[in-house]
Amino acid sequence: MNPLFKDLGVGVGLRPAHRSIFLESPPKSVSWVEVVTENYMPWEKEGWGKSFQMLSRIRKNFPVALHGVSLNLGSVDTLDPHYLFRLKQLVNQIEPVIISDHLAWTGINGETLHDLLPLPYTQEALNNIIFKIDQVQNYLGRRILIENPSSYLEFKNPEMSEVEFLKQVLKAADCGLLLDINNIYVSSVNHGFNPKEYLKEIPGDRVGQIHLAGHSDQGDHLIDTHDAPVDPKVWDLYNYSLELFGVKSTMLERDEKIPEWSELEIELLNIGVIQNEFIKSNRTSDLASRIHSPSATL
Amino acid sequence: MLHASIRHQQPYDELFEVIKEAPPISSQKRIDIYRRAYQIRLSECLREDFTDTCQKMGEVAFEKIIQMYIDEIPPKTSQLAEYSEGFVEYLKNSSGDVYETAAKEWMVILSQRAQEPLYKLTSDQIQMGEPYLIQLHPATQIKKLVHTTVVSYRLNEEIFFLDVEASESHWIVYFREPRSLDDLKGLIGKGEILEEELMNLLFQWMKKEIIYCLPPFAKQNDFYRF
Repeated sequence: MNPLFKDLGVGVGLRPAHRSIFLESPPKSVSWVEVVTENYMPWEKEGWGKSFQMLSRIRKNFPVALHGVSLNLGSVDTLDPHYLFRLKQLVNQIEPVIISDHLAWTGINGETLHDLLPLPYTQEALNNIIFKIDQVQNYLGRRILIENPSSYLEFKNPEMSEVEFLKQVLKAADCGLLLDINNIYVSSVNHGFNPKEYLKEIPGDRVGQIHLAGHSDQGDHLIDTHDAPVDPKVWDLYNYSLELFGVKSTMLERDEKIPEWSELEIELLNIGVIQNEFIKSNRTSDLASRIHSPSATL
Repeated sequence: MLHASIRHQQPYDELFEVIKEAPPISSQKRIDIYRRAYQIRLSECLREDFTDTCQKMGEVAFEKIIQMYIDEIPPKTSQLAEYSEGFVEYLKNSSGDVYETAAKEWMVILSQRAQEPLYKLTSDQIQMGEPYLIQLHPATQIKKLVHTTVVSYRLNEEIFFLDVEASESHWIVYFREPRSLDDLKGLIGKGEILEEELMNLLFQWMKKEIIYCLPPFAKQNDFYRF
């Protein structure tokens, strides 16, 4: 059976600081790039920008993943038709290899907080987000990926766990998962759960992409700041995900304190090293199938 | 409730009834993480876009006004960058100097952001007899401020300003639509502008890349505007 998602290799979150490198001497260390969708969409009044033109040029050498932060899928508001229209314009122009957004909400009543807010894990919220993802996929005519968010609070009396909620979304909306390993780690510290148990629950065939990033330690909690190298504990979890799911398209995000490209490239190369070690060690990824098989024993 | 609590920076007792209390971090502290992130995100966006305005107003006054703006006007656009546009309008009631500085800073952002035309004829192509239209360069912005009308334009990746008289601004606005040589001959024929005056303006604007020449087929496909 063909997998739902192809392994694209190692990618990077392309930020303006490194755009000229990709335009002038495309690096060999990455085989695809991810950009924040909203930074390249046309503006309501001003239309397309120069950044879109640059992305079009970069697209000639690299597959592009569009990663949105404002689709507002979990909100009780209806989807914003202007947003969807502009997203589709961008999709038509860039022909992205992946389109993704978050298992979160960003605002209500037409207002947006420009943040990824946590959902109550209830049947009502589940039905709502499944309906929205379905609408987006129908509008775009293709499958999208949903990213597990990092969060700092949980609602009382959940009807299911986050990972159970996520699994049901993936199944009912028939969408893919953008598995953010750092987000799992950040939330696991903030809410006190075992990140490996969370990973074990993930259906591997739905994982279309993996995010790695750094976070900041605030003493009694972690914040998903993307301003530091990947934490050793997150690398450990990444290794564990390889055991569970095998090699998946993996990319590195850095949004603050962005280092020189050469420094970032060291971390990117490390992803390849870890993947190669995993492949060489001939470990099969049947752990996941064993976990999900009713007769499995570990 | 969570939305309102984050936006208004106020505690809502009802909110604590629905948030799971999970020591060692209190529910209050968990909400504050989101509140702080909201404030920082918007405030940084405005500070980044309006450095000259901040300098003109002074740190204390600028901080006060951005807080007032954030409290009164929540973002409604999916692109955070567009939040700054409303700030310029918000400053209209401030002193003229402050408003003008902010308006100019926003013009710089728009001029920098604008894409290069996809089809642009060179003077050689024009001299070879290629048919062409004339239009404002996408990076050119024009705005009426308190006392003057200002044009911002991009030349060799740098942004410049030009104060223009009312008559000149009228003709700049005229080139928002692509214009043919026949259109221009028509204006001269009707006596709306002297040929010498028009040629002089076009020469100056072309040199500054306020306007540019495009092939007629590019009229619709040149760049996308909603």
